[in-house]
Amino acid sequence: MKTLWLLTSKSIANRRMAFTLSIISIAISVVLLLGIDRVTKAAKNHFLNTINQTDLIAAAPDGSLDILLNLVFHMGDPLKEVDYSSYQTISNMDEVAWAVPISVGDSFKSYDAVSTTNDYFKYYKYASSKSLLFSSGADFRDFYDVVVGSEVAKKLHLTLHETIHLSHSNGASAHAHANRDFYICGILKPTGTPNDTSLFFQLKADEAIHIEWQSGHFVDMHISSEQLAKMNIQPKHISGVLIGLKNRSDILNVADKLEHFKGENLKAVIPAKALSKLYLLLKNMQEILTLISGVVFVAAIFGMIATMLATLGERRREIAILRTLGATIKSIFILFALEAFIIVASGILFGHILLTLLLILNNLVFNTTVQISYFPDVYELALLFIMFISAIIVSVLPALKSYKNSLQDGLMVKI
Amino acid sequence: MQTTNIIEIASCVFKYPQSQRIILDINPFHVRSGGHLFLHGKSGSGKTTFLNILCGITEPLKSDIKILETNFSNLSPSQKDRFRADNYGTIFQQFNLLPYLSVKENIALACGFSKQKAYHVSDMEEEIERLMIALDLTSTLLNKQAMHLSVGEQQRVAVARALIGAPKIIIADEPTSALDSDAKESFMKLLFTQIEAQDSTLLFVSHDKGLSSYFQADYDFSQFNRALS
Repeated sequence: MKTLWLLTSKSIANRRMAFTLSIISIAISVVLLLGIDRVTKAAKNHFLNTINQTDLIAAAPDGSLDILLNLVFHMGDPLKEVDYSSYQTISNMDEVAWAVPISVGDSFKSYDAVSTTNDYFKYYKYASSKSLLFSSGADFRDFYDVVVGSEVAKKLHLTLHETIHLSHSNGASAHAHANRDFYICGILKPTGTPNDTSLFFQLKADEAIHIEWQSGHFVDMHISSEQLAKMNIQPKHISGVLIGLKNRSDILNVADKLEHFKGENLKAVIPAKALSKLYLLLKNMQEILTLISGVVFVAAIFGMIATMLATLGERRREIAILRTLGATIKSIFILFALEAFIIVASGILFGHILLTLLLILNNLVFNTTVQISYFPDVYELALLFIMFISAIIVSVLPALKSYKNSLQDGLMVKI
Repeated sequence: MQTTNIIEIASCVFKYPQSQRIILDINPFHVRSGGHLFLHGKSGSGKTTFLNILCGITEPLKSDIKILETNFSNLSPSQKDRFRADNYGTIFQQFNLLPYLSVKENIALACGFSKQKAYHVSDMEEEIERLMIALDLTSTLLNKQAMHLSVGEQQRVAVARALIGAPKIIIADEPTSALDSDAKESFMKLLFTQIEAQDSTLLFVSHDKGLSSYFQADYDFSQFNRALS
């Protein structure tokens, strides 16, 4: 065996170009295979934890995905409105620890403007238990305050205390609330959630600026912003309510209560459930990516075998010499298997090192909010094991070919 | 010891699997210990096939061969591999060495495949050095890769590898045909001195009849091989 190690290592050193290329191609396929798995898993995990510790979302009856899209992702077809009094009733329920009213529908330069209260910043949690933090400024103090999501601030180059004008509705039909100046009071840190692409303003301001809008048309009532703020207009309608319970075991109980609400029909959505439902839509994508990386790996293995077979011609003499010296067919086999072993093992090792470096680099440069693991999980280890074994098995091919050659060649190779 | 038969062939028939034609049908003969055998014959006379059979790399159709009092014909392929590793030293026309190994590693390789040869060598470094000096090779070559050696040097290193571990049988297949006449002569002298010194038996195959002067007896391979007549 010592002799075989010596032969393998020296023979490889002699063919280091082809050998290195084989290792690189395996390493790249490992980076792809594991990288895609690692990233999609992190993305899935992050996606499923877009909103945490909110036990229920109450809204007007609609599909649970519609409610989730509207109130968490701030997109999709608008929901029917919910009476503000329902929010007040909900927040006074015994089982409810906190409730945050949310109203969606306005926008700012294609970003969603969401009206809510300061409780939103207090209770919204993501990635298990992270809170929304401010990179500058703070939550609402004044009537016309706006909190801006990180990406909105970055893309539109918004700074603290800047004046902006929100738009009524969104998309093509958006009209600016041109007469109402809003002031940026805070900018959120990146979260990797829909909050990054949203703006937030006060629910009472939302209601106030809309008194001039009747049946979708602007009617100038010549009220100054200062006057409007002092009019103490109470919100009448909201899009929905985020609810945290004192005791999570009450979820179904409270959901049931909400659906048989006195005065108004409500639908209660469990966000975690709706998120995993939504994720199923993205799952195909992940499967296709995994398939692609699998194909890349198979290509890499065949590349390795092709290189080994190609060098077989020049190795015929080498094999004949070894046979003459008494090397058994088994040793020749081991010689090839050993080489495949070294190629695959170092390919996997280097691939993994490369992947880790890339992930570290990614974290350093892009400062991403999505946490990508540096270590393989059981599934990935199983994947690597299968890669490894299949490579060793396939390496039998060149070994077989060389065995046939050596039977033909005998002691002397006539090349 | 002098009277022992090293190789005893009662019969040996060979044909290629797909073909009907018998290539080899060897007349019975034997080689005594120290009775170096010189076989000459034209190319295509089946010399190389015959050597492949004696080495156990090619399987004959049927054979009754005894080598070193072992019933060689009855050995399994892997037993033949071991037998070859332990008892044979082999030198070919050229390309004897692994180009990427050093001279030292090439010589030691013979012991890597045979415990018996390794057992005969008590100090590998010393033995390699002794053989190098005996074969007129400078010790500066020791760590050189075989591919950087001249053909003459390569052939002598091949001899050193064939001799190490003192195998009983040395097989040489046209070992001099790549050498010029001066080199040829000194090569033959060195070869014989070393083979005599370690009491091995030489089986020498060549088309060059001029080399027969080094042997007590020479044989025309075409007379050995009934399939040719």
